Amino acid sequence: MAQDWSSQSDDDAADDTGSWIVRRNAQLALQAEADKVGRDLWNQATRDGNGLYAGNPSDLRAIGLATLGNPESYSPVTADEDERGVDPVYGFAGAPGRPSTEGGSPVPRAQDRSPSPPRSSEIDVPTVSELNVLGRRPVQAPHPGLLDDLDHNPAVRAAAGGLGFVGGLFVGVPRTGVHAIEGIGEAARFAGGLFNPQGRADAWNGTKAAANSTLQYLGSRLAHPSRLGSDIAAQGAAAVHSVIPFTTPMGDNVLGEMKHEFGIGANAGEALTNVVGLASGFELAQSLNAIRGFEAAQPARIAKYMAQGFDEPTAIHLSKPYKGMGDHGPVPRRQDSILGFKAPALKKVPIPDWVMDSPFNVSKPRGMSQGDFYEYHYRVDPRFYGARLPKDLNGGKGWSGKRLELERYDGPGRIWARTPSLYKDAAAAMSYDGSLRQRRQDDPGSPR
Amino acid sequence: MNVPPWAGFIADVPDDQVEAGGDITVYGGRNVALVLGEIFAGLGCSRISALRSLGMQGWEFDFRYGGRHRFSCRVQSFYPVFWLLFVEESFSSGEAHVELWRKFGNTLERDPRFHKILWRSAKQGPPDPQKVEAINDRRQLLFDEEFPPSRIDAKASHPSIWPYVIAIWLMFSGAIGPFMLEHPDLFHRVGYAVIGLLLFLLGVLFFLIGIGQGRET
Repeated sequence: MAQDWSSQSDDDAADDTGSWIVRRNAQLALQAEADKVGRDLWNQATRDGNGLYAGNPSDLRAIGLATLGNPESYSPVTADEDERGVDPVYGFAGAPGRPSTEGGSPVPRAQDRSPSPPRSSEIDVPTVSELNVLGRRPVQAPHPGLLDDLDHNPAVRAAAGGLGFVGGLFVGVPRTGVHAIEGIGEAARFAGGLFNPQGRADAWNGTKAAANSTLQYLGSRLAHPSRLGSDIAAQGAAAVHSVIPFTTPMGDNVLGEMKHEFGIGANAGEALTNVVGLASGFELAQSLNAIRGFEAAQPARIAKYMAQGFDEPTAIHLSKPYKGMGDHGPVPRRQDSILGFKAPALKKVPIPDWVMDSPFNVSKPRGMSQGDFYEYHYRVDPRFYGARLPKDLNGGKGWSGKRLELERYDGPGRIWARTPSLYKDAAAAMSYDGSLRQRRQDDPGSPR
Repeated sequence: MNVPPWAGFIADVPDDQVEAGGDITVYGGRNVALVLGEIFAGLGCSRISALRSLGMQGWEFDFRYGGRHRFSCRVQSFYPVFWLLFVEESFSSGEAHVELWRKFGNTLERDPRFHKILWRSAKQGPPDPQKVEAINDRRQLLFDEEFPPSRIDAKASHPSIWPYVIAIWLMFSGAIGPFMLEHPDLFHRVGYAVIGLLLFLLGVLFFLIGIGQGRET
């Protein structure tokens, strides 16, 4: 390469080398920050559906360096633009060996010369000719290989996205718990802050700011009511995009699309958990209400059982609070299955009663009478048809769900009803926490 | 039709239900379950378990027939009527089930302690105790007349594929989750790593459940 520069004057060469060293040092100092900025921009573009092209990991650094140098100069481009030769970093058309257009190159025009291929012995030695590509990697056309084809194939990306969405669903459920813990932490921090003057002042300022922005928003929407509709539509669309797969533009490659849809899947799982939690909260409120009003509802319960055809002593017996062992849903007392799947080996496992009969394994809805529990058990347990009553009640006929023509729960309804209250209460608590907190900016890797 | 799992009958045994203060403290049917256990032992069944109380659903025991076929038998008292639930718990072609059920049905019919035996399908459920009591013994068909061999088909049972599907799903989610969800703060990163680990372990548990389905003890 040295011979390529032999036509230059020594002054020019010294000037170029000095400039290169200065620039190189500056870039090395910025490397870590540039990496982070580049990756953030790439993530942002993936979420927004902008087709920012970064074919190599090093492209992210180039993007970051360009943004740090001049944030305005950077604009995401699509892979198509990239294929047409538009530089993703500097917006100029040109690859190594191609002439650069005016104003776009990071390299002074005086130094913007076509490089010669380096000799192998000089590959790692910085040379002035590297200035042409320093700070950016050459825009590479997709390799005409099978893997690259697959990486950019829409069908393969869609399949990866689908897989990501499905994978994210399960993650969303416990993520609700992480957010709940985070919420509890925030609440504790807030409550703790109220014990010192600065914390109280911050809380007051925050409240004032929130009230101000709410009033401002209401004022502006009262002045322009039509904007309210568009706000609602925008929020609705954002909500749909955040939980429904394939409603946002596809990522540029398989991994990008998979990550993108994984985030949406996790959002959907979390949303589903919140819905379940709200339903659980409703059920919890109902059962607490039933406990509170149990005594008062006694005459109504007796009347109900007598209307079902039981004599009065039997109706009184059925209206008493249920004190039995409950329904062992996840692991039955027979110890021959788990969650409905046969597990004969489980019989050999010594499960102590305090575990078997614990709230983790027993569904015993609160505020139920004896008769209510028979009905509940009939609906959820396909092998339960009736129960015997004390000898002197109901003419010795016992209680029969079939005789009362009760209907059984099926599918998801049965799973829901048979789930121990402990899990539902936990879901309700997580959902309650989520509903108290405003939508927050978290999980940058996943869309909201 | 397949083997009817439910039966209702009258048994000439004392009522063993225990009551105190107007409530049932021990549900009846234990003595009938013991008698039935002896009958199964006489039919060549082995490893007959101790009786288990299922509360208001009565008493249950399980046993083997033909070495590897596992069955369970549950008795619920509506004295003097009793409900019987007889099912195969292992996965098989179902032929051993038909064979044992035929032997058991005939033996029960010939045993003078049992009367008015009514067999019912899984869909029908157990017969109403009042209907059992109302049966006219003399007009009842014999077991082999009511269920000729040509009328009962063996029903094969197989392990479910769902535990494996759920296992793969959970393990996949757990393995890639922490890498798919990025977050700048440590709390979330640790949280996602823990979630990933828990989901993966849950997936392993489901995998073990899947394997354990067909594994006899």
